[in-house]
Amino acid sequence: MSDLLTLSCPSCAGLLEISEGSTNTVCPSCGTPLLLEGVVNRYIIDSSVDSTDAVRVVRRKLEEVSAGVFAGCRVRKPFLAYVPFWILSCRVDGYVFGIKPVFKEKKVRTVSENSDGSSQNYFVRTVKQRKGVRAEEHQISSGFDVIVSAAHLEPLGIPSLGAKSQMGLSGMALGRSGSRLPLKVFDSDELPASASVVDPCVSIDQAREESDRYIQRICSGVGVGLEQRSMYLAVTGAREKLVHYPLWVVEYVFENRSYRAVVDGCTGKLLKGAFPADSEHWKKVCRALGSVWAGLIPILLFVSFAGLFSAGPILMLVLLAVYGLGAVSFRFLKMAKNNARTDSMI
Amino acid sequence: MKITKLVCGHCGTALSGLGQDKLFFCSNCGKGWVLDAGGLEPVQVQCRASSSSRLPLPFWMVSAAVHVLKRTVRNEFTSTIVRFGSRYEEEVLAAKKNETGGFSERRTFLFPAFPVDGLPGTGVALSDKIHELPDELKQGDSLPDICGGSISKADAAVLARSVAVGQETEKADWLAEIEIVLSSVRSTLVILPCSVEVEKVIIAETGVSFFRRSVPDWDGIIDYHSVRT
Repeated sequence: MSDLLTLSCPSCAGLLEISEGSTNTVCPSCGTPLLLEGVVNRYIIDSSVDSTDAVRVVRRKLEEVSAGVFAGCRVRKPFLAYVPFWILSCRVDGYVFGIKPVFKEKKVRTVSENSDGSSQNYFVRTVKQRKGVRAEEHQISSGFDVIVSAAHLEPLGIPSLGAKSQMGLSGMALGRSGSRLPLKVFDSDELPASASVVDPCVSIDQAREESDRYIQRICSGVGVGLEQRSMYLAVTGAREKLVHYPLWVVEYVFENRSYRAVVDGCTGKLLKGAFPADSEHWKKVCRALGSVWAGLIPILLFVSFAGLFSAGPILMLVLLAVYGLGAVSFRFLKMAKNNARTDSMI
Repeated sequence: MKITKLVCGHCGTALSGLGQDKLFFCSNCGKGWVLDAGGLEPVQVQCRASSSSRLPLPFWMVSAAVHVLKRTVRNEFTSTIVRFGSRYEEEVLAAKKNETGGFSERRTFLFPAFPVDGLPGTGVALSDKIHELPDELKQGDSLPDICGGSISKADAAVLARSVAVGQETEKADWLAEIEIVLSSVRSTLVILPCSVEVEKVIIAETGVSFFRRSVPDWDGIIDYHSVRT
């Protein structure tokens, strides 16, 4: 995937493919060098997954975690939501000053007495002794792509991205590759009819604050262990863009309970979701246990009526076997009860 | 987005560069242009590389009045022995800092006009060697093509301040805190010949170098020049 925008040449109307953030290009059709002025900062990423694919992904996951459940599910029509994210890119150069404690290891002989004071033992302990401090100056130089959620995504079961979390969504292409995505200039007229665009409710100023906090947090990791730290950072090449990212929301009903799963529209991976418990497996376990006990009862009756209990060791053996089997059965039934009630969450 | 022809505002020659470049140099008339919020603005140029130079690269030369408002240094820190078990207290450490009086002076900074890891450090080393730069080209000399200048004029002023902080850290004492302000900033685009030796890029005759892998746009710069030659 590349981060291409599609525009047309003003000289020949030829198709221009420009990387996001470009200031200039050359028309591949007529060879005219072109200057790109003004900032386009609202983009959209087309979904490479359709509704059938989204349902298929959820179905596959259901078969994995709750085999056989999907047949009994009533799936509602999946909907495509373009959720907004701010992507803030910049370069940070600077310095961190501070002092680092210098330690010296020293062996110390320690005396320990018995509680009654009758005898003394000596043992050697190694202690770290702070002998002074050393001044340090560290240089920082790094490029950043910070992604900040521009809407509250918790209703979809998706944790928000910001200063505290950048990799909150494992499997999401946006989190993995930053801005290296196939971006298109946002045009509301070209959206699929069934798609809904989530409007941003986080302002660019709030996003900048989040980004600054994140950068400060990362940069403060430079020179770990420094005391009396002071930091000087120069932030340059700042670029901001709002990217609408495609997410498929698949809703289905199983045994009168509603479930929701979110599928990444770029990668087709399942991001979040709740899945009904697989009670069928545990029903089978219970049936097997019931059969074992049903078979055991005639044998126990036979043993007791045949007078075998008069022999002491045999009686003990039978009682132990019954006790053990009973304990195992009880444990299995308890697990079955718990698992039948617990939904799997991703 | 406004799309216009990218041409020299002086002679009309087509300008070129890498996709994210903000600095353009006309190899026909020798004028420099920088992309600002208001479009292409002229910028003063010192061309010290000819078309036969192996790798001409753009640098910013920023001349500014540097006002150091507060400069705190640490002293006596290495000889201090602390009694076993005790810890440094803030007051004790504060006593070990010396605040030197502020001063103002005019300085000239030279640093790459393209992103490079450790840019302030490279800038400090390069600013010390300004007097060792090759001479400016004379009229009639063939001018080079440049690319990769993606640091804007505004960012150059921010980075110049960062280089000034770097210069303060280079002094023999140990810096604890600094407050520094730059005023009357004048920026000039300087084109310097560079050479590549294995992993290092050596800048002109200064001997200052940086690793080519520390330049994010390095492949683009090399591709641009290999296509032109």
